[in-house]
Amino acid sequence: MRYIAIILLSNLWGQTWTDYLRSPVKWTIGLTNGYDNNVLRLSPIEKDDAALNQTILGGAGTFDSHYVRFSLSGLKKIQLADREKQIQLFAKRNFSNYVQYKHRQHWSGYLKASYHWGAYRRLEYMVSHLNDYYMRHYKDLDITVNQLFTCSFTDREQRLLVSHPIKLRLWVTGSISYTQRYYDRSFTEFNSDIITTALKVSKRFRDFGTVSVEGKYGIADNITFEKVAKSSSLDRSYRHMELYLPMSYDQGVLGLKEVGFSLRADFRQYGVEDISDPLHSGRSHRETKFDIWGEKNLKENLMMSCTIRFRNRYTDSRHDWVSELKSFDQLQAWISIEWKMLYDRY
Amino acid sequence: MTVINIRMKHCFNFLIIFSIFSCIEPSSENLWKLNKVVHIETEGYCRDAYISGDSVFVAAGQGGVQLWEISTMTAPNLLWKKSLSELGVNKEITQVTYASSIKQLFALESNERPLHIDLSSGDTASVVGQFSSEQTKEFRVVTNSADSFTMYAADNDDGLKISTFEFDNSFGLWFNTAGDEIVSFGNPNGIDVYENEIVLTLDQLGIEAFHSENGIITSSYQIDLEGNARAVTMLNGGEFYVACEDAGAFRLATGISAQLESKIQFANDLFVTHVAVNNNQLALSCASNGLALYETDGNATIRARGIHDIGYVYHAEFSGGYLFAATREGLQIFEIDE
Repeated sequence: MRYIAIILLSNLWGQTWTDYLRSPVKWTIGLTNGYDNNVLRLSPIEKDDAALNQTILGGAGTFDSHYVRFSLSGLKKIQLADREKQIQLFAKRNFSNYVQYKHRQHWSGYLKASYHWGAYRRLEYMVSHLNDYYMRHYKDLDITVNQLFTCSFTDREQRLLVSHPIKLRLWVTGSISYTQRYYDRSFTEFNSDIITTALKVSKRFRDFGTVSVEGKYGIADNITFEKVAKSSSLDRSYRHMELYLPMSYDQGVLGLKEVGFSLRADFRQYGVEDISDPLHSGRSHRETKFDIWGEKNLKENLMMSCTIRFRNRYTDSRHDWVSELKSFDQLQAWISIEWKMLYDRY
Repeated sequence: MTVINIRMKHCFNFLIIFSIFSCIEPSSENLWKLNKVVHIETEGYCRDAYISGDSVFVAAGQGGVQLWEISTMTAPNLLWKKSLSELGVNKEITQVTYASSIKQLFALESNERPLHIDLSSGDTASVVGQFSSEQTKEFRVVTNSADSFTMYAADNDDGLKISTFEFDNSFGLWFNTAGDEIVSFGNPNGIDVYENEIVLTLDQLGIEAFHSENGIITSSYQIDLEGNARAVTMLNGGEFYVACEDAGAFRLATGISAQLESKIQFANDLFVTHVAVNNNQLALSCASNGLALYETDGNATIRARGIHDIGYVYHAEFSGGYLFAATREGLQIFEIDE
């Protein structure tokens, strides 16, 4: 696919396609060591239940887990004849392994192709893939009454993004994405196509760093509603809104190159209104993620970062027991090391 | 102002092509659909159905026995019905079987003796009488000749009960000419017959198989199973499905020397009361959980193909490509869409 892209794009600027290969490729190898205190996003009530019935943990013996993630990325910049213009191709792949939760082992990755025609000016197309991401064990009510099966999904997202400056060091980024979230064969009733639009305004302050505000609005269409077996009789479509406020300070503090924090608030409202199904009827949730991070350059080509994330989901329902069952807290912390390399065959 | 020139046009074309190829296909659950053809109200609970050509005999619980004509499947026609008082019984009717070659109908009063109903005189259904043992749980009828039949009954307090009847033309009556009672390993509550092989379900004690040779019936083997063995469906002399209530169902295969060759348990978490078989299709009657469909390759693989909430299901039968489900809500006829 990469070569097809190069061949197609090479027709655009009057050079032979081999000319474009003469720029170097920047490779980055990363290793992340992390901890998640609530892998399955269990509410306190579910944790109490798990003490009596461990099948909910899917074979694991703990609620928390240590995880390791290996990543490999490559960036190729193709400078066009006009020095202000360039094409960037970026690819990244992650392999994650949860030590206490073997089912959570998965890979993810993305490909980005972007066209830059000046500062803060870019048009970007991205394809990302999250493969077979395990959520937890659930009952497959289509074929059983009590038995639990692994529930995992695969995400394929395509995003088109445009960035443009407004004023000096102030720019706006708009994007539209199409995500196909398809579950494994036992839970296809949850399959959804999600369209999300986002608008982000960023400001870079001299002698400080960058502050951004992003708003998202998405609609998830439950494409298997009433199309498979009895469990698909419930419409799982939803709408969500998200507000994201990241702030980073990059003037050096406590020996760190950059520190930052972000707040992400997500509100999701399900469409279903079925009085016979109190678990899902009229349900919504508010989710908050608070991240704080710091980055340090250990060497010119070796960078370390540390992040702590606190996540809280509050589920709103007219039934208190649903709120208690579906609300949870989660704490994650991870340290990443990235080693940057340059490959230049010329 | 941004001008869309030929180069950008190529760029957009590339993005469109790339987007299309980047989409993924969802997995398929491979579940089977049940398309309802017709729902027949049977007054009482529909406990059992026996299909013979265009006729369906219904054990309608406290509604007695009914005969429906289904030449037009979507518009069944009630030909006649016999209430409990007309049948001369008190308890509900739980099973019905028709021997078409001799035009004799058999029905079972719950936990009592089977009823013998003569249908040889046109549309008139006349009760001949009750016979065999009390506490009969299930029975099978084998036609020996144009004027003889043998009934094999799962007699809950005595074991395997065999009764042979012959029609005496001079009296115009059916006479019980032979009978036998064979003590089983446990208390039987289900039975099936295939040629010379007979299998009883023995509740907590699994199943017991018998072999008939020149009129002499001997016990062949007994296999203990999880749960309460309730009903057995024989594929042939050595292969059968056993419904074991809260332990689900088993597919058993025995070898030449009657040794167990394979035992496959499935539908473990369902309360299974009967298994109906049609080639690769299995329909499990699961009481309040409805009807569960499974697919078998005839060997070791049995795959779930969906549970369907169609009511409280007692029994199901395949006939002519249709699935007949006897439920508390009446007789429901379906087509399976694989």
